[in-house]
Amino acid sequence: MGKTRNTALAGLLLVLFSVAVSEKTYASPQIDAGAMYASAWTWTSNSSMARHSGFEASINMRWLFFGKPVKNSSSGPGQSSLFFSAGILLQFLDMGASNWLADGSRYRAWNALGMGPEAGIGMVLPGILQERRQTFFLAIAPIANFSKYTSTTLYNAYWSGFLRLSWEAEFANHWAVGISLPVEIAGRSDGTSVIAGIRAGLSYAF
Amino acid sequence: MRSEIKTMEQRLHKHMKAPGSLRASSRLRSPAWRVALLSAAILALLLAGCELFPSNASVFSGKKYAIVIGINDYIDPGINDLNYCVADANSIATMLTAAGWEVQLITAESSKSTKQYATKSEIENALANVPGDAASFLLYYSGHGSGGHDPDRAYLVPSDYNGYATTMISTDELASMFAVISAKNKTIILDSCYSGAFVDSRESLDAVPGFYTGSNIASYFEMFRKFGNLLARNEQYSSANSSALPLVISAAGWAEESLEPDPATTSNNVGHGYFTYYLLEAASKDANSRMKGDADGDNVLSCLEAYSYAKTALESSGYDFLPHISGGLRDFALIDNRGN
Repeated sequence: MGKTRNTALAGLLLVLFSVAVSEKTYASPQIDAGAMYASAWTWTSNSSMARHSGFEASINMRWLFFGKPVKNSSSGPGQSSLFFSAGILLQFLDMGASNWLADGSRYRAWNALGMGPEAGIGMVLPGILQERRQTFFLAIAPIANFSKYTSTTLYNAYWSGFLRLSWEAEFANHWAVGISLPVEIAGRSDGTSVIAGIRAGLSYAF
Repeated sequence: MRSEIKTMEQRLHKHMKAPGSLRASSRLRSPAWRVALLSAAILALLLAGCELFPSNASVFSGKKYAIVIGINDYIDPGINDLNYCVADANSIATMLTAAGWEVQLITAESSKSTKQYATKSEIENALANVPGDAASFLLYYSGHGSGGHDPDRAYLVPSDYNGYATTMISTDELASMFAVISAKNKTIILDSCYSGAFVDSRESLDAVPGFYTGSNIASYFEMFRKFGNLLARNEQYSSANSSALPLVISAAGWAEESLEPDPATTSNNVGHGYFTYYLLEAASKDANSRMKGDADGDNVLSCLEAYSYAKTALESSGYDFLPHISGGLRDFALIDNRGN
């Protein structure tokens, strides 16, 4: 898993670098904050899958790199533009204990503070459904998580891989609301957890 | 026919140009309305997400079998006898039996004439004969413990301990005995001195040291500084199949004594070892018929909830020993009251 993750990340960084060093590159910083009601599914090799409920909140700080200037939204719709992004993702996750399995076991509750570099690709589409621009965005990130089993004094850490498909709609100059579908796969001890949900967010483009 | 169509067209045209319709159209095009509609759609999606995957609370199946050991009386007169270990075992056995566990009770107290109870061989035999069809197995032990020199090595002290380490049950021996027990969920609860050495934090690190002084629990930031070590441990245990190992709860750290009241000097004598007293209290019911330790209110007291309740109570009572729990992803049901 680690090798595939590193290869994918290296490829994206290469693309981003080549765009960034181009003379015709236009960069735009963006900050995005959001939260979601999250579900997680955990299993191990010798124990069945069970579901947790909880929440996740995250902040993303990223640069969007465009190959051409994007028309200011206040002057009306422009042309669609492809962009690449690079940034940092910071998230907090708090999941409750899972449902009980028929064998009288369940998976523990845990919370985690995670951080990692985020890379993405997206498209700005002006003039669909409304005059202001909209953005479709796909991001991936490897996340290093510092975590703790809730109600214990046991701390641990794990890596996870993160993929998020987002749609943002601008509602005022610089400001946009959005929803996204994040999926995170975490390798926790000898088990695996998949965390997903529907995230609502608010972003500001500088 | 044609005139009817023309009339309809005229009506439609007239309707489309009606001032009210124009106002409605403009309203929907205004930014404020669009934001409101978008926000409502997002809120609806989020609320829907709460119910997309309802919880599945399974009814438990499979035999639950427990061996409960309490040793007050040691055959060797050179070893101090204890006062409340048999009471601990009796109460734990009663609690488990009421919750549907099949319990084998092994006790040694001074009123028994032969004194040949709870010996090492009796405990070994009991563990060797755990029914193969048991889905859940629990070992509870209350008695003397030996250790305090090695974080990973301690002993349970059977009633026939004669001064030689071979007459005790070491951490390695207990692990070997458990390795052949086929139950899927295995739990060990130890109320004995130095029992923290039986607890393996596995992929985790415990912020509570094995020699608790009342104020030396590592902070969140102190643990964060061990981030690299923790990531390495997680990697180390990723292929260790550690979820199949027993969940272990100890009354005390590897360098701590687990205490019971002194009948001669304790004014508020709870009649049990302090750890077991709070463990039993976790399963007792409050005025709302809810188990006191059932933190999530699902009518099931889990091992982790019982540990957490006892730990919080001991910490707030000011004792200088604290319970520990092993690492790993899983938690087991101790008392299931959902049918009651």
